[in-house]
Amino acid sequence: MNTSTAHAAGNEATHPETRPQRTPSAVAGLWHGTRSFRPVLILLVALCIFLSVWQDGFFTTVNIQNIATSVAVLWLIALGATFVQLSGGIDLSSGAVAAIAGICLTRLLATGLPDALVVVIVVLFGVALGTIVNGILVGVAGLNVFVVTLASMTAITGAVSLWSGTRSTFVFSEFVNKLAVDQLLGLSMPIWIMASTFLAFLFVQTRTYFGRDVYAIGGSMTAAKLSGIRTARTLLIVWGIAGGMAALAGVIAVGRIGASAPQPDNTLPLNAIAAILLGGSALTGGMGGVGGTALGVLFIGVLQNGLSLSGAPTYWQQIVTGVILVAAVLGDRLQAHAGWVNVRNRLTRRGSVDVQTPVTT
Amino acid sequence: MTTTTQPVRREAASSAISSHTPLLELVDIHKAYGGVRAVGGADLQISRAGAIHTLIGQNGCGKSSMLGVLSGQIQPDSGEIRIAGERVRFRDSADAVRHGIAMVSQETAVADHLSVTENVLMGRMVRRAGAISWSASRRRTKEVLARLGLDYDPSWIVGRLRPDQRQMIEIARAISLDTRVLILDEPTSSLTEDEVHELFTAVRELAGNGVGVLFVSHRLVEVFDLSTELTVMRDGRTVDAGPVDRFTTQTLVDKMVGGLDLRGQPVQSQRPVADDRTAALEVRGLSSPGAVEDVSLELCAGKIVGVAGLVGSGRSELLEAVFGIRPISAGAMVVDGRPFTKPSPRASIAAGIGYLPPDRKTQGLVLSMSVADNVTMVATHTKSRLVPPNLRKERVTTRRLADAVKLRSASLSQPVKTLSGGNQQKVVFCKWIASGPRVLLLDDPTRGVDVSAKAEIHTRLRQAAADGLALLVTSSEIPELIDLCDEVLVMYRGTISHRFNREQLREAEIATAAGGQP
Repeated sequence: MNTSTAHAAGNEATHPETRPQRTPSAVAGLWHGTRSFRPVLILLVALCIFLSVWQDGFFTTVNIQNIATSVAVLWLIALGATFVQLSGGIDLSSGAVAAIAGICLTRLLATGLPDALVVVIVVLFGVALGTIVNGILVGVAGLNVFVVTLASMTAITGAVSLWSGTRSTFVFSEFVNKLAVDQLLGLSMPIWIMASTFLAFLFVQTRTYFGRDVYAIGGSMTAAKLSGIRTARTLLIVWGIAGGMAALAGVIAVGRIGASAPQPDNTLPLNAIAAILLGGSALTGGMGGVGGTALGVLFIGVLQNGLSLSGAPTYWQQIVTGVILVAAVLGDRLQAHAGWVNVRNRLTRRGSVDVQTPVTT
Repeated sequence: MTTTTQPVRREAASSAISSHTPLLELVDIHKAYGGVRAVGGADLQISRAGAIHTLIGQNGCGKSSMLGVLSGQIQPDSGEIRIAGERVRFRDSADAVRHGIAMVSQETAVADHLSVTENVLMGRMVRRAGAISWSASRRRTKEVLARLGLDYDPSWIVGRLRPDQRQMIEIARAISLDTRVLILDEPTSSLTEDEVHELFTAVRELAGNGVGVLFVSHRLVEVFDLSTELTVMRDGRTVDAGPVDRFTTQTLVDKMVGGLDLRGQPVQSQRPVADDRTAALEVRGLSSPGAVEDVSLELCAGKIVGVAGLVGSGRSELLEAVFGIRPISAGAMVVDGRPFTKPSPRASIAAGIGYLPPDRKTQGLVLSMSVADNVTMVATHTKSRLVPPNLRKERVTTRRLADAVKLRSASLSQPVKTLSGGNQQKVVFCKWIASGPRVLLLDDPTRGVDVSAKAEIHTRLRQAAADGLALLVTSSEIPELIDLCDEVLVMYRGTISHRFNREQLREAEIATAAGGQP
C-alpha cells in the first residue's frame, strides 16, 4: 500500500458521512471482481483468439458446444470440489464416487424404477457417500483430509471394480439420454446443466450465509468456531454437495457413453484441483470461488479441443496445464516477494538510525 | 576486535574490584528497535562457574533483549560481552554455542518421534568409521544425563515423556555441547510443582558440576529457592544486582516496579466507580482439568474485572473454560440469573457471553475475509444459512461500529489482513459488540498493539462498561490492569490466590501475589 491510499484511509475514517460508497462503473466493477482469476481469464481469452484466427473449425457453434459438453463431467466435479477447497479441504475421491454412481445408475435402471427417480436416488446416494464417509471423518472426527479422501478413493475404486466385474454395463434410458445428449432450445442439455449448477453455486457462494461460513472455515477454522459458526455441520454439507456433484457427473458420463465405466477415472479429481488452482483459489482454503474454477475448466477444455483440431497429441494439454499451474504459483510467489521487498525498502528508507548495523547471516 | 593489550588491562581492572574474573559479563548493552529503546545501558555479571544467576524484571523491562544478546540472536547496538574476562562477539546463536553459551527457551523444541539419544545428540551422534554408532551414542547420552542426575533410558521416545522430562532433554542437549553458561528462559512456566522440584534438583546438580546457569522466572518463590545471585532490570536498565541473600521479596519487588514512588499510591483511573448491580455472570467453583482449580467470581454490569497472573497461571484457561472451549470438570455458572450449563461457543454467545481470544490472527479473525464480514460474523451466526445476507443493513452496522472505534480502513470490503495489528484488534472488538453481549471476556486485548491503539482500546473497554457490559480482562501487564479495572484477581497455579479491590490496586502487591508470594 502506498502513502496516498493510507492517507485516503485516514480521511475516510474521519469523515464517515462523506463515504457513500464510490459507485464504480459496472465495467470497472466487473473487472475488479476478476482479480483473483485474472491470469486464467487472460490466458483463456488469448487462447480463444489465437485458435479462432489460426485454427479452422474452432470458432463454430458446433465446436464450442463440443468443448462445453466435453468438459461437463469435469465441470460438475470441479464445482463441488471448489466448495471443498474453499473450506480448506481437498477431495481425491470424486472420480471414484462418479464411477460408483454410474454403476449404481445402471443397476437401478435395470430394476425398472422410473428413470427420473433413479437419477434422483443416485445423486442422493452420492450426497450420502460424501457426507457419511468424507464429511464425518474430516468435519466431525477431524482427520487429515488428504488421508481420508485418499482412503475413500482407494476403497471405492475397489468397490467399483468388484461391483462392475471390470466390465462396462450398457444401458439405454430415455431420460438419462435426454440429460446427457439431447438438445434444448438449440443448446445441448449438459450445457444447461452446467450453467444452472454454476449459477446455483455462485449464488450460494456469494449470496448466502452458508457460503460465508465456508469461506470463514477455510480462512480460520478456530475463528469460525469461536464465532459460533457450526463448523462440523457446514463441512458435512460441503462434503455432501461434493459427493452429490460427483454422482451427477457420473450420471452424465454414463449418459454420454451409453454405458457405465468398468473402473473409475481417478485423474478426474486431480484435473478438478488443477482447474480450481488455475482459477486462483487458494489450496489452503478461504480464498477463490467457482468463477475462477469455471474458467479453469474451460481453459483445459479449449486447450484440449484446439490440440485435437490441430492434430497434435492431446497429451500436450496435460504438459501445458502442468507448466501453467507452476507458472501461476510462481507468479504469486514472486509478487508476494516483490511486495515484501517493497515494504522492506520503505522501512529502511524511512530510516531510523538503529537499522544501520548490518546483520551478518 | 580484540587487541592484545585489552584483556591484560581489563584483568588488572577487574582484579582491583574483585578477587576473581567473572565467568560472564555483559557490559553497558544498548539495543533499540526502530527508535524504541529496548535496552539502554544494562549490565549482567555471572560471578563464577557454578553460580545460579537469576535475571528478573517486569514484562517489557528488556530481559528478552538481554537474553537475545547473550545467546547471539540479537546484535547489540553497543556494549561488550566477556567470557572469563575475554571479550567476545557473537555473529549468531551458533556462534554463541561455540563459545559455550546455550539457551533453552520457553517453548520446548524437541523432535517428538525420535529417541532420547537422537534428541540429546542431535546432529552430533557418535560415529565409528563414518557410520553412526548407536551403542556409543547411547553411552554418551547416559553420561550427559548423569550430569543432570537423571537416569533416563536413552531409547525412550521423547514424545511420550512428560513436559518436564522433555525440558530435561533440551537441557541435556544444551549441556552436551561443553556449555559454560546455560540460559533457562522461564523453564517452569508449564510445569507442575513436583516437576519444578525435579528440574531444580537437576539444575543444582549441573551447577555443582561447574556450569554457570542464567535463570529467568517471574515466580519469586522459585527465584529465592534456586538462585545464588540475581540481577534486577527495569526500563531497559540494570537497577540492582548482587548475591540473593541481599534481597527480600519486598525489596526485590520494589526494585522491579520502580521502588518507593509507587508505594501506597493507587493509580487513579479516569472512570468513576460504577454502581453495584446484579451479577451478569456468576462463576462458582469452576475447575478445568490441569488448568483451573475451584475458581469463583462475579462480574457485574458496568464493571471491569482484571485477571493478573503469569503465563501458565490459568488466567487464559479460565476464560476459555467459561466460554466453553475447555472442558469443565466441576462448577456452575449463572448468566443474568439463569443457570448456564454445558457451555460451548454457540451456547455462550446465545447466553450473552463474548470472547476475544489472545491471538487475533488465527482465533479472532478470518484474515482473508473483509472487515464487514468479520464484524458481522457473530451477530449473524444464528440466521438461517440459506437466507441472503442483508448487505445494506450489515454495512450500516459495520460502519457505525467501525466509526465508533475510529477504525482506520480504506473500505469495509477490504480484507482484514491488510490492516495494522491495532486496527485488527478493533475489528475483533466490533465483531463482539455487534452481537450485543452482556458479558465480554477479553484475553490480553492489547497484546502486540502500539501505544496509541492500546489507549484507544482502553477507551473502548471503558465505554463498553459504561454502556452496561460486564468485562473480564486478562493482561500480562499489571499497570494496564490497574489503570483499567475495578477489581483485580490474581491467579497462581490455577486458583485465584488474591483479590484486590479498586482501593487496594498497587503494582508491587499484585506483582508479588502473581509471583506466588503470600
